[in-house]
Amino acid sequence: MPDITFTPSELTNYIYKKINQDKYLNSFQLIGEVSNLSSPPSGHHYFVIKDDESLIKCVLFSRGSGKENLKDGNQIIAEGKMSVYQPRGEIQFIAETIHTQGEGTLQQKFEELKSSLEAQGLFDESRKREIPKMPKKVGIVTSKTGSVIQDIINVIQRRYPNLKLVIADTRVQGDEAANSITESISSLNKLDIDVIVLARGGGSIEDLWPFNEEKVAREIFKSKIPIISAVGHETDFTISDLVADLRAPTPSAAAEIISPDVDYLNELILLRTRDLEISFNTVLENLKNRFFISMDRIMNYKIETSINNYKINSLINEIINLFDNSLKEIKYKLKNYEVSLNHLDINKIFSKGFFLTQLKSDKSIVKNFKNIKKGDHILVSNLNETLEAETTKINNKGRTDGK
Amino acid sequence: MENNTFEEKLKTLENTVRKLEENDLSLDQSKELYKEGIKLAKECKILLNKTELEITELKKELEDIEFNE
Repeated sequence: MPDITFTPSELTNYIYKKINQDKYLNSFQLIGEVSNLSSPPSGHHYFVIKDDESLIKCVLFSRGSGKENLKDGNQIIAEGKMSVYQPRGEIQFIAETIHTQGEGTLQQKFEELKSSLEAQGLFDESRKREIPKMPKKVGIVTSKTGSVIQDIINVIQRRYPNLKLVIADTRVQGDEAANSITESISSLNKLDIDVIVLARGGGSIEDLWPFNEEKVAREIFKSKIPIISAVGHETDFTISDLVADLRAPTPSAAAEIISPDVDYLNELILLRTRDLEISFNTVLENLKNRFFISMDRIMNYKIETSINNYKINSLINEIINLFDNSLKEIKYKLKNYEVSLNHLDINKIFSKGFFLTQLKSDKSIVKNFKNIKKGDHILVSNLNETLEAETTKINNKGRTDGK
Repeated sequence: MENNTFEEKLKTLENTVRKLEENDLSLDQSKELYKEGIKLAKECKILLNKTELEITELKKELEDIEFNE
């Protein structure tokens, strides 16, 4: 004996759940011939779809679309899902949209035109123009009435009101639509406009068909103004989308593309203002630094013992050349250098053979030989040692002989 | 080029910043650029936050063109 027992309602419930959980049965197309059509006053339509071997009970509720395609004997494609009619324990197909099989050829037409235009280079990426980031004037090709234009206006109003919209009132559905779209694009090209948006809300393949017509594709291709195509929902692809310079998934998305966010722009202005401050401060700092460096040099200008690091080599050469000259002359030469105390290096000077000369009596540094008389005791020092000497002779040139 | 739309002002502001970032400027030149930049930034802000979306119809725009020609 099996383990499980069902009552009829338990079983129909179980089957109902199983169907709901199925990967395929919740959305699919059922192709076949309509039969046994019954259309009671409720507005619902009951029928079967059959082929040579089987038939499936179907219902199209009054809110469904394509009921005009229901006629006994018609070959149809029905979009919908599987369900269970529990009072009778019958499985049935709940149709949402009915297409006639002839529509299969629309898809075919689409593919044919697509490959033909593609071969002619109408979709070439290299041809696509850049959409201006901050357009001033934008042309909108869409119906003046309806929610699409309102959506676009709302988005732009919120994000970037600093924009001029030119609405080209256009028929976007029906037989006249292709001509109307073509005219609008061509007329907008006479104006000084930065970008054109083709916009239309979602719909069936027939609804969107004008945007798949060759005439429209050619006009988009011809437009001197860059075009954004925003036709249908995110999942709808039209020829217009492929020819246009840019495809926006929805009209609202197109509106966002042409309208930089006002908050972002405010932020941008703030950033630029800060850049100004920083740059200006840098200029001021640089000038101030240059001023202070010069001030420092003036304040610290002492020729006796200071040597600027980067001048030291030439200075030392100079000193060697001058070795035989009097200290007076050397000191005079040194005066001509701009030197700073910052990089003072006494060792280097002493190591070159220079000595510090002081009067023994008051330890004053001898800067000028005029201050030395015959008989004066002097101290001659380097970094580590000191020698005491007596002046024995001062010759005419001011040269001193010691012992 | 006219210089009274938001976009143009923003561009000029960005150019001013760039010029100010160059090093060899005198104090006076820098001061002038800074003043000009701040003025532009203010004007940008005013334009951005005070404008109203302007909506016209193609039909009318085309009539205007014919009228002007």
